[in-house]
Amino acid sequence: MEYESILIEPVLTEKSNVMREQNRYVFKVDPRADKLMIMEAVRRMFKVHPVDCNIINVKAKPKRLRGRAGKTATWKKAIVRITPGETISIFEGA
Amino acid sequence: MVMTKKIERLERSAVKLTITVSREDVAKEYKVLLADYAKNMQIDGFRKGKVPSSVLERKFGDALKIDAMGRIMESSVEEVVKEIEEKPLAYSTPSVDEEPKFALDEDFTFSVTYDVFPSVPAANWKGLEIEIPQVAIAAADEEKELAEIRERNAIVVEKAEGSVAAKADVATVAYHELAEDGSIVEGSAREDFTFEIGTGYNLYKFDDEVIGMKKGEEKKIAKSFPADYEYKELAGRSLTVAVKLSNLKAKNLPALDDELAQDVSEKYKTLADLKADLRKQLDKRLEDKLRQLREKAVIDGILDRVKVELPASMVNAELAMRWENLKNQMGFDSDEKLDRILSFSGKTRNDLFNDWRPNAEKAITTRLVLEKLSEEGKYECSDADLDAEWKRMSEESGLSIDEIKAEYEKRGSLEYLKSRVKEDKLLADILAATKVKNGKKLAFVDLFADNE
Repeated sequence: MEYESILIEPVLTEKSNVMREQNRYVFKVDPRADKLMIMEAVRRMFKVHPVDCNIINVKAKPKRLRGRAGKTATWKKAIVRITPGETISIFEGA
Repeated sequence: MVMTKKIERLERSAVKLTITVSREDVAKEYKVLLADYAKNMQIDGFRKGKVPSSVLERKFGDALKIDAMGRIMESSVEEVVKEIEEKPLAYSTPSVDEEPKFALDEDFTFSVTYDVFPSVPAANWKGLEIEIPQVAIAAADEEKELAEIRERNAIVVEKAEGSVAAKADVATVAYHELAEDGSIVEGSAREDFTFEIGTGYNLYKFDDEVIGMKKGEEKKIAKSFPADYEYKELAGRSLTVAVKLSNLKAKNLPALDDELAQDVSEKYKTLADLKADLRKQLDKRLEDKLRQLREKAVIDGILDRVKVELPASMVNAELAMRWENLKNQMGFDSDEKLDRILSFSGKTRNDLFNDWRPNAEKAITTRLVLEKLSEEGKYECSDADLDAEWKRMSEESGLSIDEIKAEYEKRGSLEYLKSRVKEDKLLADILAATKVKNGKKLAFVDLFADNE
């Protein structure tokens, strides 16, 4: 797996916005990636120094569409903490 | 908000307005806008109104800036226009010539152009000289009118079987063109075509040939047409037309007597009454026409002396109005339909507008100049003037004054009437100060012949 393809997109929510103040950044990542790979990917892409990484496998939610049962896709969420004082620019304002 | 402003006069009574807004105001305005958006924006992952402005900026940065720029321009133009004398015309929205440079941390300078009310010089209308043709109503004119009345009151009756067609009879025919081998030329056949013999109101002008035919009779008529024939597709051709006279009616012209006069209207007792009234009508028509000519000549004379630079938007508004009128007249509800009709005659809307332009420009100039003159001369429409106008109209139309008043109020055109009264007074004054020369002599009919 390429490091470039591990991080899929940043997760922009109210919660992730608050977490940013604690130097924790949230990403949607490739489900095959593990914590170390994710930290390495963040290090390479944003030139910052990750301290640790938590992972959540977001479960599928049951949804109904026209009475038929279905599920939303599962995905892997990674919360990466980086060294205090560093920032990742794609989360900050332009 | 506005730091500096600069006003430049351009051609055709347009104005270029350059405005600079200070960088603090730009930033402030942008912030307000951002806060405004953040309050109402709904983005996935955030509750409504909880989106931080940094996220907003990241997502919609450029669009926000353009929006802010637009708002700043709008409000600053509004602010400036309130202060200055050069107000834009209602139908001329200020337009931006080039995309201005906009940055949040810089003073913002932009310029707009718009049209202002043209300056109308007070025209000098003293000592104008105009030439009006001399026209007298001849006996022949009266007779023509009488003949028309007879024509209108003619009774059309069926002619007896076996009688032959004569001039001035009303004939109903079926006809078709014959090809050389005797077959019918496609598309040339007509059924139940009615025309008055002698008038030539038919495609092949077979009036003379039809005379003498009996009802039900069929006839083959060979015709050849001159090269300058009225209908182009037949010019210079020779062909045969088969005509069948299916019905024949005679037109009985009423005798010129008191009875006819009574038929025309109950207010006439005798033919003399009718004649006298006819004469009066003719006089009035002549007088109206001459007054029209005089006013036209006077206005032309004044227009020769002044020059008004009309703003383009004013002319365009006038053209657009004429276009709307034409559309209404023809009963179309969409521009496309009218465009299509125009294209049949090989014209586009622009061609039409170009045709109209000189006329429209003249109409506007006339209006402006007359307005200016009546303002200068302090012409007013007093209640007494209005009463006199009511009375005059009531006499002319035969309606009561109250009825006319109600009609005007219903249509809301009282102001229009007032301005017309004012204008009439002005024109009367101008005419009084104008030397009217007698022009060439003209017959009554010729006076109306060049009616456009």
